Amino acid sequence: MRRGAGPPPSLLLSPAALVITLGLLLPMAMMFRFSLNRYSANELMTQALTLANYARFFSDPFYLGVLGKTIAVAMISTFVALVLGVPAAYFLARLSAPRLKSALILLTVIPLLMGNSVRTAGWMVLLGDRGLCNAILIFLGLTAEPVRILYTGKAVLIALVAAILPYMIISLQSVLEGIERVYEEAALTLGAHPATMFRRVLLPMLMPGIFSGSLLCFILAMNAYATPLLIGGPTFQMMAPLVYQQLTKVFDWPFASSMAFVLMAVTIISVVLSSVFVQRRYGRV
Amino acid sequence: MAKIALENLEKRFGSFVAVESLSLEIADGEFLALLGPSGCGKTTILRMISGLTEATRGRIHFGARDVTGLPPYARNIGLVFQGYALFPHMTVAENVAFGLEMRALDRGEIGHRVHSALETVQLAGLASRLPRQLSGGQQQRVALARAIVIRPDALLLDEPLSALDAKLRQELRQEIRRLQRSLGITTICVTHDQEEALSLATRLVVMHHGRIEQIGTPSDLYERPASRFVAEFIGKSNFLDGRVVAKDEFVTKSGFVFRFQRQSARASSHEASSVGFRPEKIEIGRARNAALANHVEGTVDAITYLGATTEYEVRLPSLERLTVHAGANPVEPIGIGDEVTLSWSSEATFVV
Repeated sequence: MRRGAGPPPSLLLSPAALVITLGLLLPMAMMFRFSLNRYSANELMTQALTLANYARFFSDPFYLGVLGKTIAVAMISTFVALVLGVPAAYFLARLSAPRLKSALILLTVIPLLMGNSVRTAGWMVLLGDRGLCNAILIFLGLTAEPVRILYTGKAVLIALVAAILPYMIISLQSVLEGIERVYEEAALTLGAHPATMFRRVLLPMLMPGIFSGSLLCFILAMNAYATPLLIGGPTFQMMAPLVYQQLTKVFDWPFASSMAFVLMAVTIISVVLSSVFVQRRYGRV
Repeated sequence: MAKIALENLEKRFGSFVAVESLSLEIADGEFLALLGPSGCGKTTILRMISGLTEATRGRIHFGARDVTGLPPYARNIGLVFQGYALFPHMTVAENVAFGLEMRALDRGEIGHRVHSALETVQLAGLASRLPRQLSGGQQQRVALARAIVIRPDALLLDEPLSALDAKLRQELRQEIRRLQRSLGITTICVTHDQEEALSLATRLVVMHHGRIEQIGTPSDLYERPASRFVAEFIGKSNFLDGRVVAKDEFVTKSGFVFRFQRQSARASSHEASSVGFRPEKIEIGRARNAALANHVEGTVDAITYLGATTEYEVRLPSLERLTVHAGANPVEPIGIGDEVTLSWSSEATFVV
């Protein structure tokens, strides 16, 4: 490109930069300031510069438990989505019939086209005590009493996996499309059993997709709101609903702010640590 | 290393017949080329031998071993792919070691064999590089080393040099030949490049529409083509249509009478056929060469200087055109529009 002709290309970034500054960075700075304030029952929030809210979070086993549960649920659901996503993505990527392929890809992303709460409500209908699952179990005589699925960790996991799976499949499929079949064939002709071929050739080449897909799913699961709120209910709590509850029910803005920051920090730290680990293990992805 | 035998091998994709009942034996240590235009079925044959494509019918034997039903990983073959297919996340040494690791050899043996294979292809110094850090020619050598290090029963080359430039291609052709001879591996090379096939292989199979058109040595195919397709595919040829009128006489539609010595089995004396002769077998001059059996007169239409030779387009009175390749320095200078006489021998004339 010719130098000095017209405005610098970086100028094109400025509308987006403006939106991010006003809509994201500024409120976050304000929220961080809130998290250092003090809560009072009368005035709700009083100006202060204290780390008491953070201290409260990290000294209370209940909140630490919710954080631990959130991390565990996010990791497990990401892992399950990965295990389910790899075969599905492989099948999609290696499908040669173009019509069937686009139909299946559309089917994969259709859940993303409807609202999260609508989908979650659907899971409630399926998993509830009088839901479809229990109706079938009772009809088949497998159980006399309805099995409690809704409002348990298992239910949250099932619904979360379903929510994040499309992202995982699409991330993996896009990378798999770029891995020519000839690499698989080369490994096979050199004497590798299909399972060995998968482990030694396909998996390392798929690493960028595994990494980006898992990252996306982990972040989505960590910050999931509607799914744990509606499916976990009062008995299985995760971080995002808890923050909202502090904000709108207890009106403890300083504590809610500090919780939001803890959630964000933990997410960012996990992402950075895992990317460092993946880079060490598999080279640049 | 083993003899490879294909028995009535057939591949159909739906109603399309890619390879039609093909039988072929490749001797132990032989270098065979499968030659033909794209879509002639040559790559399908290679894939069936390697096990990557399942044969619809027929059998494949490596020596005494019937490998027809075996998956590719149980066949012990070395396949060099058109785009090399080096594993991008592994170093050169790891790529070459892959096949040995699959055979569960011990580390010392693997290291030793990888090193000697890389030395064979003159890449010992690049063992720790990644494929993307290598040039095309070097990648091709790694692919070759990876295929031969496992001591395969058969070395299969799929258009091995098509991705390289002309000079490098020539260099690697020599190297592949030397390597194949010194190792004595039974080798099958698939190519659409006749020059590659002629220079590499000791025996060629010309394929057309899933069938074998002709099998023979390079000179067999060039001097005694079995069909017009072979004559046109390998080298350049002049053809004139007509029919055979006597044991050694052919009359073209335009009325020329030519003497010939070779007639393919397919061209029977009563059916319409073609007479062919190679451009470089023709002498061009103002006077006819009486020592040669066939003569025709015409006008020079175009002259193309090709370095080692000069190409003349000669228009006959019947408006048919012939191509002549002559030495670059003719005894008598010939220009466009000159009346010339073409002469060639009956040995250089074939009917297909």
